Parts: sequence; structure tokens; C-alpha cells
Amino acid sequence: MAAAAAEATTDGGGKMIILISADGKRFEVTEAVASQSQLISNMIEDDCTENGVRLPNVDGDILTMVVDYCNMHAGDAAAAGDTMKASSTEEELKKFDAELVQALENPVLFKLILAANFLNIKSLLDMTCQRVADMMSGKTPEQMRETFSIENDFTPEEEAAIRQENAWAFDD
Amino acid sequence: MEPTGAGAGVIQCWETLPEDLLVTVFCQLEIPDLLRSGAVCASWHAAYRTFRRLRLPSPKQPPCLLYSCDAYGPDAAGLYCPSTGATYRIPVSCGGGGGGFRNLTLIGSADGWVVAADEIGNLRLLNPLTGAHAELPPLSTMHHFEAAADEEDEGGGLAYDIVDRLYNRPSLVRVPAREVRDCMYFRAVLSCGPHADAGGGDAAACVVLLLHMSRCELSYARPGDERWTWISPGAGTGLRWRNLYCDAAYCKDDGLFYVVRDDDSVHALDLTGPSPVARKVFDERPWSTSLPSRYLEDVHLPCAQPCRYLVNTPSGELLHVWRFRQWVSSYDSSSDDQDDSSNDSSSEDQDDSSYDSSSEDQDSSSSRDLYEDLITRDIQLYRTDFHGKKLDAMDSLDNHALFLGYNTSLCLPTEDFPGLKPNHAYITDDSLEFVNYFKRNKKEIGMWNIESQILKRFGDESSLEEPWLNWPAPIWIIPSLL
Repeated sequence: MAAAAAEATTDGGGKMIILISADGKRFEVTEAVASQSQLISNMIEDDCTENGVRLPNVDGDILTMVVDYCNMHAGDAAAAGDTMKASSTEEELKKFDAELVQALENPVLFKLILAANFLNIKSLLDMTCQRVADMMSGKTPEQMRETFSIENDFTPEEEAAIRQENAWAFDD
Repeated sequence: MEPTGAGAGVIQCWETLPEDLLVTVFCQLEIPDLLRSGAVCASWHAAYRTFRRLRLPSPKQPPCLLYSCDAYGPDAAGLYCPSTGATYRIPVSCGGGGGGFRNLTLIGSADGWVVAADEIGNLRLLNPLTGAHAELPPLSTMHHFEAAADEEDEGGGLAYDIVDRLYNRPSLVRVPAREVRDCMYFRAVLSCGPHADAGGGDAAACVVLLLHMSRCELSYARPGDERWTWISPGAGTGLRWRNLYCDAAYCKDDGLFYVVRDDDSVHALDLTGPSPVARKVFDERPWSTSLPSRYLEDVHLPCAQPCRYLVNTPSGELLHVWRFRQWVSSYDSSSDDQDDSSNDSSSEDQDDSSYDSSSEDQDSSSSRDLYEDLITRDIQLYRTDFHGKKLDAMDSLDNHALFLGYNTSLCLPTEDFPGLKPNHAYITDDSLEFVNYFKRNKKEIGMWNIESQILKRFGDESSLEEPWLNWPAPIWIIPSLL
């Protein structure tokens, strides 16, 4: 199974790389897939991926999502020359991204942002940050606290002073 | 406070989101959401402070309508966001003894800043959200202007002598200072907001280009300049003496202003050097060609000329937008004095009294200056073909929305602003005559569907219905904290 997958992607991606999550799960991906992470791309350049890449900040379930995302998006560059393929891939990608981002909830979203930041995958970071922004939009501070399970750690005086600075934005 | 989430590990997490990531999220927010997110908890507030200190922009903020209404009083403006339907009451401090927001005339806007004229016609830049302002040179420093004492004037005596040099014998018109803003300014176009006041370097990038009386002439200034610089027609610049400029667009890519005349001709202006340089980049239409208005065979003479806008598109094209308007009587009873009330001279007599009483008079319909509305009938779009030296008619904006009015015209991709309707023009009134001489009349504000050529007014709910009847005329701004 893994061998078949490897074969299918080897032609574009070349060498395989092993990613190891914090809880010891192993993921075998092509260089093309892995190098969407700027962190890993730098490691590949520095030739230090021989014994697998340990990612002590990233849990297995999150790394599964990251690898899925990278597998989907690895086609971007490869398919660029083939316009027919590129356009259908673009459709699929949009659908995939939309479904992925819609399904994201606390705390997975939080962990995925941290993983995207740590691995330095800009498109995934942009997408997840946008999702957080969407979850904040149109909400009062109270509703934001509820959405993100955040405790109000202001004193009443501090909070009043902060709201007073731009009182117009707090009129409901 | 009791935690509301499930599991202690989850509860703490969002407070611990690293500040740089939170700042990245804040960049995706509209301004009201940003301000509210800064009041969620201490760590988010710290990130909000960082965001403000770094003076980061809010590129997802769509344009909003800045307006005045009785309910908000003279010292506050309304802000209506058409993409979300939200309205806010913004206290506006005008500083410098300019009086409240209601005493300003708004003649331009860009990047969250408005160009506002005070009661004696002097202009300044104002960010209504932050209260920041930047001074522009006094009106008396304009080339064809002289401050004068008007002994005959009862109200203080300051007046301006305006020299019209079109013909061999220059004529001189004396205008009382308190009336000058009603007849002086067609519009002001900005290169950008005066953001960099703190940093210094970029402040010079902010140029205010003024299209003004007596013949749609051009003058410009930067904040802090001593005087306005007149862009003189004639051999030096290649500009015509009879200016008749209608609108200008600033192109950030080449740093030039583009000005359009009522004959389609476009000049590029370089205002960065010691003296202005103009270059014709698009020729005038042959005088015999009439404008192809599709619906308006029967309109009065003033509407045969459309109001023109020049608009930069995100892809770098220059659009000519023609907005045809028609004076329409809104007088709907069988009263006999309809003819009298639509007479021009009576409107000017009424003007001062109705304006002065505006704050007390809550019933706008009774104080209408005239039973006339200025209604948009037709908006046409033309793409500038510089090589082919022609204008190509466009049927559609596709996935773009236009914002037209006193603001520096905008063309925005609706993909980036999901709340905006594609192929629509968001319009406000910007006719000097209508806005200034019929201050209490119904303003035309809404979304013009380019495909169906139909205007949908904002505010279907009764509470929202046209709260912006009052002076000053509403203007589009992209709210900004910079």
C-alpha cells in the first residue's frame, strides 16, 4: 500500500522522507510533498533528513492532517505545465481546503496553526489564521471568549478603560 | 470565573497563541472586530497593542459610508458597512475650532482619511476613527485667491476675491468666506493617506489634488505645505486653459495622477518634482461625437454630460465611468406651487435658512429645499485602450465592485470582500450643485446593479431607512486606524 503510494508520486518527487510525530507515528512522504514545509525544505538542503525528521511539537493526528494537506497541494507545482490537469486540480484543491477548514474546531485548529507555524507552511498558516479571523468576526468580546474558551483576566477597571478607548466599536 | 470549555488543557490554549500568530490573525479582521478582539483578555490586548504599534494595515476592511444624521447629533458620524449591514456611531472630534462633524464639508477620501472643509472653507485631512488630522494650507494661499475684508458682509467680514483669468480681462468675484466651500470644491483626490506622520519618510507621499473653481482647475498640496500649488495651464504643462477636469485617479504603480476632462482626454500629472509636469496620455473625442447615452434622449441639458470618474482596477487598467443623472421632481401632491418651488432663485434664498435650522428641525421633508432629486439613470463603463487610442465599452465588472462619490474612486475584487456584490457600483451623491444647494434633499445612496441598471437603496429595515438625510453629504471611506 505504502509502496504503491510511493511509486505513484516518486516520479515527480524523487526521494522519500520519513516524518516522525511527537507520539512516534511515522509518515513516509516524497521530498516534493515534504518541502512545502520551509523547515523541512531547509533540512533537505542541509542533507539532514537521512534518519527521518523528528517533529516533537506535532502530534500524530495533527501531522496526519498536515501530510494530507501537503499531499493534496504537492500537485500545484508539478501540474503547472499541464493546463487541463491544473484547472481540475485547482477545483479539487479549493474543495479540499474548504472542507478541511470548515471541519476545523477547537482545539484541533489551534494545534494545526502551531504546526503550520512550526513547519513553516505559509499557505496552511494563512488558511488557518483566516479561519480564526472568521470565527471572531461580528462577535462581541464576550462571544469571542465563549468561542475560544478564554477567561476574562482583566480587572473591571482595566476592561472599562480598554472599551472606553474605542467605545463606538462596542455599541451593540 | 468558571471555565466553559471541556477539559482544562483546552481552556487555556487560545490565550497562549504566540503573539506573532495572533497579530497575523488580526491582519485578517475588519476594524470593529479588531478593536473588540483587543478587549478579550490581557494577552490578546497585548497583541492588539503590538498590532497598533507596528501600524499594520487592515486589508480586509471593506468601504463604509460615513454620514451624519440627526439621531447622532452634530459631534458624531454614522458609519454604515454595506457588506455586513452594521452601523456605528463614531464620535468625531474636529479639533482646531472647526466645530462638530456636522459643520464640515467632505470633498474627498482615501485610505480612511477624509478631506474636509471647515466653515470658512479651509481644508484639512481627518481620520474620523482615530481623530488624527493633518493641516493643509489655507485657502488664501491658492493662486487665484486673495483674502479680503468685506465691509458689506454682516457676518464677520472675511471674504475671498477669486480671480477668473480665462479671458483677456480677468474678472474678479468676491465670495464671503462662509459661502466659499459651497461653490469652490468639485472634489479632492488623494495619492494616499498621510499615514507616515510618525515615521516621517513617507509623509511626502501624501498629495491632495484639488479640482476647484472657477473652471475645474487643479491645485495640489501636501500636509504641512505653506501654500497650494496651482497647476497652471499653458505651454509649461500642456494643460488647456479651459480646464473642465472631472475626476482624477492616482496610480500607485507609477506615482502619477491621471485627470480626465469632459471630452475624454486624460493627462498624467507628475507632482513629485519641484514643479508639476503634465503629459497627455489619451486624446479627446472629436467634438462632433455625441455621448452614447442609452436611455436618456429626453433629459435636460445638464444631464447630457455624465458625471465622470477615472478608476484604477486591480489589474492595472484605467476605467472611464460615466454616470448619467436626471433631475426628477419628487413632489407628489397636487399642490399649486410646484413650479415656484422648482425655481432656482427661490432655492438659493431658502438655502441658508434651512441649513441653519437643520439641527433643530427633525422633520426633513418639511424643510426640503426643493422637490427635486438627482437620480442616476445610467452607468457606463469603458476600458482605456491606450494603444488603440479608444475607449472599449464594458458590459460588466465581473467579480468587481465600484465605489463612486466624493471618495477617490475604488474598484475592488469581490473575492477579497465576500460581503460586497459583484458587478455593482456603490454610489453616493457628489454633484456640487445638488449637494451644496439642496442640502436637505434626499441623497442617492445605494448599490447600482450594472447588469440590470437598477439602484437598490440601503436600509430595508425601517430603523435604517435613510438615516443619512443630513449635511454633510455622506462619503465612502475605508475605515483605517493608520
